[in-house]
Amino acid sequence: MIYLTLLITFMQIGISAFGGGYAALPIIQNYIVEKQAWINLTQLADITSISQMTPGPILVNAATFVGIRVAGLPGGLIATLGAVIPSFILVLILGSLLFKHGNLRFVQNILKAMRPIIVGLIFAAVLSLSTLSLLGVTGPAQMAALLSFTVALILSIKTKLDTLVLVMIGAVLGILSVWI
Amino acid sequence: MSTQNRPKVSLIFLGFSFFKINLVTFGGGYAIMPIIKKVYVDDHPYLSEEEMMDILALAQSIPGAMAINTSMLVGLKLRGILGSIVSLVGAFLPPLIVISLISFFYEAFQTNLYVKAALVGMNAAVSAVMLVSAYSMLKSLLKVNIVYSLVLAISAFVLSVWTNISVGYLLLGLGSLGYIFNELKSRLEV
Repeated sequence: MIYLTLLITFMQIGISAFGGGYAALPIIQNYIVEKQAWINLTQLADITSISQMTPGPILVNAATFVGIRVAGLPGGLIATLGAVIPSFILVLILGSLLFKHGNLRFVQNILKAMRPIIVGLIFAAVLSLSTLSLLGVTGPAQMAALLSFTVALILSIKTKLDTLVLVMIGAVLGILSVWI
Repeated sequence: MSTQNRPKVSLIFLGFSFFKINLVTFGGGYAIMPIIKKVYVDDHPYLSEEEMMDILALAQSIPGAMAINTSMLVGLKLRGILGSIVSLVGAFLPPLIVISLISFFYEAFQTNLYVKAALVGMNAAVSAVMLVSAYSMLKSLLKVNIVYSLVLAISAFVLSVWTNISVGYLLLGLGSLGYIFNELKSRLEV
């Protein structure tokens, strides 16, 4: 039953994705690319890039995208629900506790424990995604990829430019490489 | 501000405001939090500054998408369980609709030469942005507790790159170690 598998897989991802931003990415990679093989790493890289240009968290975007690819629109809806159900339940429990008691030390301690692990996992995801996007292509496309990577790296260190702008620069450089 | 003389937020306002916020805000959790604060603290007197801070702190502590967690917590705080459901639906509908459309175009344009070339450049740029973001996260962790953070981060990196251990077990195992360490540490400090 594909819907059930989608639901359970994305619930597992939803409950493991501590810390926001790119935190969901290594977990999605593990469950969706490596275990279920529903999409490949290139498609995950694509959806991550597309996520920078569209509203919404990467977790929800990836769930919708993968769900639709695996089982059409209902699949997209079920995967997205699966991704948010664990947080919904935790919000109800922990939110009620917070609004009653004001302070949740054990929650803070869980987060403190998770943060360094997530950062380590994000570095691992960066390694596999940049290996793929820089070494997985050849010729002019590889030149464009290396140039986009370098430009984005410098600009995001030196300026406060929005990620959207950096991604658009990458897109333009990529398209230019077709004519070389 | 006391809870009594605060205006009661309507479910319609909750649903629509989170739909609107999640539709127009790009870049995920950290980008969306200031906007939610602006709407619910600055523009409308529904929440106090302190209440918002508590909500933001908890939203970051709960796994899942921070933007969605924040939306649900605001809903829960203001209108109970029904409020959190309405906020959740408002918050996840925009990405659901947009990505459904895009996923259709992706299927159609995946083989297009220019789209493929653009994605190559975009993916490379995103890798760089992720690297910088991971580095700055690491740097802020190291300000607090260098040895503890480095040991956990490096173990997670090494185990994830060179072994086949599932990320779930990895989080559970290393997370328990980190949790015990922090629990003992905060007991000793009290």
